[in-house]
Amino acid sequence: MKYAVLIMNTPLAATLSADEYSAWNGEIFAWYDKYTANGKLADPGNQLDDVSKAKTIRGTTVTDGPFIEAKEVVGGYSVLEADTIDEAVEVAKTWPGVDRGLITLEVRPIVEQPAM
Amino acid sequence: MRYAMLIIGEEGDWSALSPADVDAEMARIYAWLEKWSAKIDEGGAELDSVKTAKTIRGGVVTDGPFIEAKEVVGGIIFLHTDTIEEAAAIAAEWPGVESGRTTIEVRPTVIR
Repeated sequence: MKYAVLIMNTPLAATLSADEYSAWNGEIFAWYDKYTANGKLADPGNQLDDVSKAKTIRGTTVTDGPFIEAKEVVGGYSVLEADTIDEAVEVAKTWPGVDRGLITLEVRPIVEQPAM
Repeated sequence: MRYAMLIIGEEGDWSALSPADVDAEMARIYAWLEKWSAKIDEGGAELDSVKTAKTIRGGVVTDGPFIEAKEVVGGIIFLHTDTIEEAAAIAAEWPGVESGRTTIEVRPTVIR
């Protein structure tokens, strides 16, 4: 089964110094290397650029900015391969900074559509 | 450039549709996917209901989504276009956007 991990930055992440941020980035790169190598990561996905660069399309109107103003916003997306959601959660818990409250993660099953 | 399309809507909307309406909507979605296949990058996914989500915050795992909101992210599609305006124009054709049922947030991705 594939599970999506929505990666949300918390306000705490914005309080890091440049050095702390750079060290944290190193941990994140190491995490992706490790879980790519051991096959738990089906797709590393992407980091999304800042919400200030988003465009939202609602009805026939395009506006600058995200669809919802929130303290925590989706900042990235990855896909895990696991047998159960609990196994996916165990892997997700090791994402750097989750234990320190820098990041909140939402794990969701992916729906497999029949071939077109 | 690679852009992410976050597809956002109210989950109840789909369960309120008749099976025939669901089929018709899926046909419109498949037609959109086919029309824009040259612009669509790998890596997109339809996400299961937020009811099935688990959230990890500060080491604590809870059932449900990270935020309680009427509109939730239900899927993600990656587009490859020259500009965000081009991506937004393609996103505007996603079925249900015009009628206001679905909202799309288009975001640039960060290349590392």
